[in-house]
Amino acid sequence: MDRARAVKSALPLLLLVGCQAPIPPRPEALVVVSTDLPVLDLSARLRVDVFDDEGVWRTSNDLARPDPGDWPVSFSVFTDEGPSRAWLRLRVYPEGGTRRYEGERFSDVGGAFIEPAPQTRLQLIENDRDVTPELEPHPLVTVDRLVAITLEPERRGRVLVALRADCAGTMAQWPDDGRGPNTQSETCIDTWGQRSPTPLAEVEDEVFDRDAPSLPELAAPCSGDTKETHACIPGGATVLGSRELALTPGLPTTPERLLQLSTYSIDRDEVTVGRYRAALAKGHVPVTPVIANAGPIESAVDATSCTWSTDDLGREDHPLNCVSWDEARAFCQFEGGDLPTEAQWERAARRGVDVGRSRYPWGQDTPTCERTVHARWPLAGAPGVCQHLDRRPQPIRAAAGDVTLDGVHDLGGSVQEWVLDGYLFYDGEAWGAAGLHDPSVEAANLLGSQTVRGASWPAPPTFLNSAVRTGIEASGRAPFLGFRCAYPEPSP
Amino acid sequence: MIARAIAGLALTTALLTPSIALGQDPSHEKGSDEAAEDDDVARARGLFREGAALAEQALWAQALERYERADALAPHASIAFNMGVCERALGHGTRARRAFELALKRDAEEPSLPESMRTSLEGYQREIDELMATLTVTLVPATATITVDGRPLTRRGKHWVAGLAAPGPATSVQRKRFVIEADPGLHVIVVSSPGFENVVLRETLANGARERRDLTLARLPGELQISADREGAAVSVDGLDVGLAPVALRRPAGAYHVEVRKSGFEPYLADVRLEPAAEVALEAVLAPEEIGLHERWWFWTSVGAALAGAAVVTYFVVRPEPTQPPLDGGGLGWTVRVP
Repeated sequence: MDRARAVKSALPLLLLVGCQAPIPPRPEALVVVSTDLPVLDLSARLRVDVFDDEGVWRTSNDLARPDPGDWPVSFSVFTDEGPSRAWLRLRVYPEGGTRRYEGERFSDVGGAFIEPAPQTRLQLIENDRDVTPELEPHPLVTVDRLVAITLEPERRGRVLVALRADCAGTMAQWPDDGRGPNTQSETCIDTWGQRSPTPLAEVEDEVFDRDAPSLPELAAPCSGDTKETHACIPGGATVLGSRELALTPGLPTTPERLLQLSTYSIDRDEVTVGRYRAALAKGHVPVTPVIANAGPIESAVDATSCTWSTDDLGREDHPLNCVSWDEARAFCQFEGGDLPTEAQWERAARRGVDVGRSRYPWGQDTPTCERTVHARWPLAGAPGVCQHLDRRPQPIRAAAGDVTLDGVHDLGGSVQEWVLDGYLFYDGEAWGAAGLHDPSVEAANLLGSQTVRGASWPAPPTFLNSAVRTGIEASGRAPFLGFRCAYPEPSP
Repeated sequence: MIARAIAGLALTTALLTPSIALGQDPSHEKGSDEAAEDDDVARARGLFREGAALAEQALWAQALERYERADALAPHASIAFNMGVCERALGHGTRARRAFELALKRDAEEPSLPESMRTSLEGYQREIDELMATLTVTLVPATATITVDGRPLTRRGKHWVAGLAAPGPATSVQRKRFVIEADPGLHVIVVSSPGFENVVLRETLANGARERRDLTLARLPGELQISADREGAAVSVDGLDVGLAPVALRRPAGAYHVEVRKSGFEPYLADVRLEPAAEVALEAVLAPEEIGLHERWWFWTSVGAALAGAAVVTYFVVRPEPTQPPLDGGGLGWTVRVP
C-alpha cells in the first residue's frame, strides 16, 4: 500500500474516532398528578410509593402540598436502560388524616375496619435499613390510585394522573402475598366503589409540560338568593367527623370520612313553639304529641321545662323541645323538607371560618357562657360552668354569638337537635353502604337510637364541638332536645 | 328515656328529703347560752338552717353551698352528713362518700350523730359503693397525665377517684395499670403526654359498671425543615432524594442523615435527631468549592499551551464519554430510579 492510499484509508477512521455519537436518553416518565379536591382542606398531602415489577417497594415520599400553587405535582420515574415497569401508588389526603401502618388492610368499599394479616405488611428497605413509614393515609379520607408505567428504551415523556374525589374511600388492592401491586392489582379510576385492573399509563412522547388539564370543579355554589328563614349551604367535598376526639363507644366521631354533598338549605333557627303552632293551624297532624306544659317553664330538667303549650303562653320564640324524632321528621316533611342528615348538619355547623372546618359553629374561639346557651345544669359530677345563669330553655338567638358565617343560629347550644341518621359508627357497614354522595343512614341502631347533634342549655361544653354526636331513642322527648329542618336547593 | 330519667330524679328527691329533715342542727349542742357563742358558730347555725330549708325544696346545690360554708365556720359531723346527702342527690357519689366518711370520722372522735342517722349513713355508703363505677385503665406511656371532667384524680387506697378534686392540672399516676372510681354517668377523660397525640374519651358509665380501657397514645411524628442558601439545591434524607430545598418532611422520631447538594458547591452534611412532635429546622449553607493552586488561571496558562497539543492527540486517541441528556424531575426535582 503506497503512502497516499494509506492516508485515504485512515481518514474515515479518524473522522469516526473524532465524532461524538450522542448517548440516548434514559427511559423516563414525567408523572404529573392533579386532583379535583379542594387543596387546603382535603388534599394538603400527597403520598407517593413506588414499587418495581417484582413487587419490591423501592421508595416512599410523603409530600406536603398545602397550597393550590403546589398542584399539579410532578416528578420523574426512570430506569437506566429499560425496558422496565414501575408501579406507583398515589394517595392524596388531608393533613393529619393518617393511621398506623400495620399492613395492607384491603377492605370492602366504604372502609370497614379490617385487621391486616401479618404477611401483608410490606417493608421498605433502604441501605439495609427498615424505613417503612409508621403511618399511612387513612382510606376514608384518601383518594388512592395505582398507576403502572412502562419505561421503554430511549422513550421519554409525560404521564398524567388524576386523583378524583369520586374515588375517596375506595382503596387500591392486590393479592396479599406480601409483595406490592402487580398485574392483578385493581384501583379506582373515577367512580366510587368501583375498581378496575390497574391501567398501563399512556406516555406522551417528548412532552414535558408540568401543567395538567384542569379537572371539573366539585364545588356547587348557591344561587345567591338569600332567604330570611333558611340559609343555603354550598355543596362540594367535605369531611364528616373529627379525629380531635378519639373513637369510643360513647363518642364515635372517628374515623373521618370524605364525602360529597349537594347544595342544600337549612333553617337559620331551631323550630320554635310559634312555628309549630302555625303548622298545626295549617293542617299538620302530629304523629306523636309534643309534651305540653301548661305552666311556666321551670328551672328543672323534666317535663316542667318543656316549652310547648296548647295555648299561647307568650313563649312562642322558644325552641320547641320535648318532641320525638318521628314527630320532628313529620313536621319537617310537612314544611317541604326533612331533618338534616348528619353530614348536612355538621357541614353547616363547621362553616364558622372562611377556609377549612371550624371546631365550633362560630369559629375556633373557646366557648363562653355569653357566647352560647349551655352548661347551665350540673351533669355527672361536673358542675354546670354556666349554672349561675338562668337554668331553663332560652328563646332562640338568646346568645348572639352562636351563629355561623352563613347566618345559622344556635347550632352550638340552646337545644340539642335531632338529625335524620341513626346513631351508627362511621366505619360500620351502614355508613360504608351509604356511599360517597349525600350519604344518609336513616335506620336507627340496634338500640333504636337516632343521632342527636349539638349542645343544649344543660349540656357540658364538650358537646359544643360540631363533630360531637350522641344517640337518643327515637321516642325520647326531652327538654334539652329540639330540631331544625333542611331542604333541597332551590328550597321551597 | 327522659321520662325514666325524670322519674328517677323525682324518686331520689322524695327519698332524700326526709333525711335532710332528720339532719341535726349542730348548734343544738351549744346549749341555750347563745349569747356566749362566738360569731362563727352563730353564722354557721344560720347557714345550716338556710341549707336545711333549701334542701327541703330539693335545691341541693344551693343547700350544699350553705352547708359547706357552715362547715368551714364550725366543722361538725351532722353538717358533713348533710353535705353528703346533698352531694348524693346531685349525683356526686364520690363526693357524697367522702362527706359521709368525714361525718363518721368526726362522730368517732366526738360522738354526736343519733343512731338513726348513723344507720342511714351506712345505708347510703353501701348504696354508693354498689353504684360506683370503676374503670381499669391500661396506660401507655405510663407517664401520661389524665383528667376526668377537667379535674385531676385523688388517691384513695389502691384506687384513684374522679370528681373529688377541684378543676386543675392533670394527674400523673405513673403506673401502667390502675383503677379509677367514678360516679355513673357521662365523663370526659383527657389523656396527654408530650410527644404523643392527646386522647379524649367520653365515657358513659352505667351503675356499678366495671369497664376496662386500653389507652395507648400514638406517638407524634416530627417535622424536618430543610432549607438552603442557594436555589436549586437537592436534598436527600438517609440517601433518599426528597426534592429541592426548601422541603418540609414529616418523619417518625429518630436519627436521620441529611445531605444538601448543588453542583459547584461543597455538599452540606448533617446528622439530626428528630424528637416526637418536634420541628428541626436546618439551613444548609453551601460554600463554593475550593479551587486549588493548580487550578489557578496562571497555572493553566503556563501549562495549557504545553498540554494543548497532547490534549488534541489524546482526544482523538481516547474518545471522551458523551454526556447523557439530564433527567427532568418535574416540579419537585425528584427522580425515582427503578431497576
